[in-house]
Amino acid sequence: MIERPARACVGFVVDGLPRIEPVRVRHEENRYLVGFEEASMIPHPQSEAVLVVDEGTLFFDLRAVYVRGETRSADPEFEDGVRWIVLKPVRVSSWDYGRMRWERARD
Amino acid sequence: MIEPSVRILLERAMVARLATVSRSGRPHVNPNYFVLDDARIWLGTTTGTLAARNVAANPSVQLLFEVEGDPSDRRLVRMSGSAAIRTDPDLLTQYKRRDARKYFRSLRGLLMSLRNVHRLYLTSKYLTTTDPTSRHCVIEVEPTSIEILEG
Repeated sequence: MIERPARACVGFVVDGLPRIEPVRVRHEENRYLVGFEEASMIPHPQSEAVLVVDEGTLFFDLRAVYVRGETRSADPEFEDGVRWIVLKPVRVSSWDYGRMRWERARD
Repeated sequence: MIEPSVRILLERAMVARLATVSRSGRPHVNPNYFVLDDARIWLGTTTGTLAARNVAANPSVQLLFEVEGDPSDRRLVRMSGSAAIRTDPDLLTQYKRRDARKYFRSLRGLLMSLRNVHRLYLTSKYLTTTDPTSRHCVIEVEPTSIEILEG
């Protein structure tokens, strides 16, 4: 999903309010490169942001990857007409409703 | 009021990405199924989810919608709004009816649901046992501003 994201967006906080931007994504060496279009608002460096990549449109068809991390400057910052930042992951989780199964909890 | 030009795009969207802020000021985003009311967006969830807890603490939200079904149409809708948690039975019933019409009525939706019918119980159980006090709710978003982004 990360290599060929159907939909990707980043959420962050600006002056106490939520902000969401559509983005491009690349995954390299345990970090996520997140690309913003020119007109987009960008999260501050060293701030917390959440990347969500998801696909599917129906019940049991929806799945997603969720990455919570801290933003860093990317080098190069501009490439392919896009401004890139690095998201250093702190927590990564994913879910797929179409693969949900019953499993007894372990002690 | 949602303008007709925006409404047409929202009617073609299937998933809403909801951005919220926690009580301590941390961001959160999650994809949600949604239905369109006359002037509001309804997102189904349970009161124990992080999104619902965030909305209870801070009603400011943003939503992002993509137009589905036409790969050449890359427009997105971004909506800022004020959200509230609704648990009143009448509204939940209305939500469930509209939700079923939207996601189960197509042939693909019906087949997908039949194939996964055994997971309906699991989904409900998962959503309500993550937090035993959790119950079904609707996050109701009243838009304050809407913009169309060219993807």
